[in-house]
Amino acid sequence: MPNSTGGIFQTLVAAATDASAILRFQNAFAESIYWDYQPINAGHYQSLNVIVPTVDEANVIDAGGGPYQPADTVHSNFSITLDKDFTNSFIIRNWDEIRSAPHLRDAYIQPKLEEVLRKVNRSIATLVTTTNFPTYTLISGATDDVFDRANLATAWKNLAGAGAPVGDVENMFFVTNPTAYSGMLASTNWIQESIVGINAAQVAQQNARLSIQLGAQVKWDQHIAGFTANKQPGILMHRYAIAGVTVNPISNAEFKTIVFPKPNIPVMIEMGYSLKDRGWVVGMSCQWGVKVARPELGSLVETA
Amino acid sequence: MSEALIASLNQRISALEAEKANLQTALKQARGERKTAIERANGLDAQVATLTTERDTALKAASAAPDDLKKQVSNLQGQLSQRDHRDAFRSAARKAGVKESSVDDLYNLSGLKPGESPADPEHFADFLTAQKEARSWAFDGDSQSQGNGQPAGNGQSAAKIQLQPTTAPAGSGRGVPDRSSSMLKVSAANLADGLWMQANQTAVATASREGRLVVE
Repeated sequence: MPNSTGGIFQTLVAAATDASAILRFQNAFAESIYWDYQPINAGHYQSLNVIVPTVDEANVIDAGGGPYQPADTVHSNFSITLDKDFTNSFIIRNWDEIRSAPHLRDAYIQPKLEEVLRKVNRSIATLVTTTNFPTYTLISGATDDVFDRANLATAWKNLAGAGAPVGDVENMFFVTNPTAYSGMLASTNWIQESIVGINAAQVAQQNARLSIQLGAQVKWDQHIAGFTANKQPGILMHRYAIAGVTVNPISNAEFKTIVFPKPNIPVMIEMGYSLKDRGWVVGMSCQWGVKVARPELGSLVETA
Repeated sequence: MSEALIASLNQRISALEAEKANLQTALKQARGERKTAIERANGLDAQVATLTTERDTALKAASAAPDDLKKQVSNLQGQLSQRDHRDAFRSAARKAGVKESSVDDLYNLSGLKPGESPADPEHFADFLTAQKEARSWAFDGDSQSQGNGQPAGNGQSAAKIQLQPTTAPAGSGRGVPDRSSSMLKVSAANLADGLWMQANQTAVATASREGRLVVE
């Protein structure tokens, strides 16, 4: 006996919400940029204003006992075009075969959500280039395929000198590719107890995870591309260096829900029976845009 | 001019020169003494100023100290009085059979205060006698209050009531318990509302895993 439509949708909601909480793939950039989720419906290629929080001492005026002198805007306003509409869809011809929510989650929803998020992450990673981050000279390391502590210290100096809040550990990241990350995992500079402390050394050995270094979370990402051939790239950045904007994707489907595989990244999941396809079409869409907002908050490094 | 006169005048001149030298020496000495006297006087003035300040400070301290000491003494007297009063009550309470754990409660409930009533165990006897009826839970031998520290109704000792369970024990063969009150009912509008979903996604996922999700 086939499921009722309502029952099918409930199964889909259960699978989708559950899957969003257990995504496993590494998407460092999707987690390390500033997302402005605007809960509106917006047309494709529409430009949206995104306010990236800014601290500008010049806003403070010594009034000398006089009146306030307010400015029209106190924050940086970035116009970001909503130029991406990532979709992922599939047909389920016989719903009864996957009527349990765990099976639907494992076989369909979770892999498809991973795919969407991977593509979002790749799009962000392509922005990390010497052209988009020209503020500081590219820092070149002295060792093949691994960064030295001095490389990060120089990048830190760049950001600190520009007034970036380098003490903001929650929002400071050093992202590199797996080659350099594995090099760091094998380098005493990054894992030796006498340098990084016993806890960091333990986590590095047991979980292949580098702890916070120079006030930044150290992450790896498969999508970051090299700046120079045969050299491994990396970027020390504050979250506000890159800004993304997301909206509620437009849908007229009767059955739809929005899930968040990452905070502020909404993915619309909708479903409906298609006579043409002779099955249930399940579609996912993520409508978003991204931009390098504040290049002075990112310093690029590469290995020898 | 005669030789004698000249000699006399020379002698006079010599005498005057000697006298002048003596006067100069005396003057120099007098100046030195004056200077010393002035310096000494200045030093003494400074000492007088310092001593005056010290004297004033000492006078102030001397005049203020009694008040501080009085306060301290008064404070300590109050504490002693309070302790004596409470000790007297405790002594009387023990004689009357008040539970050790209830003595402080009864003392506070009595409203008796040091200064208003004497610290004499006999003085508390009437109060404690009255409490045996009004607050029997505070006295040894009260069965209702044993174990839970709560007073019995109307101060009467009552037989311990054996409460009957209001729900059936788990696994008693009565089927799946009713979970309707813990079901998470979500409307289609909620599911399509991004803000709502962002705030409640975890709750929806948890409810769906536990079989408590109802999409309306």
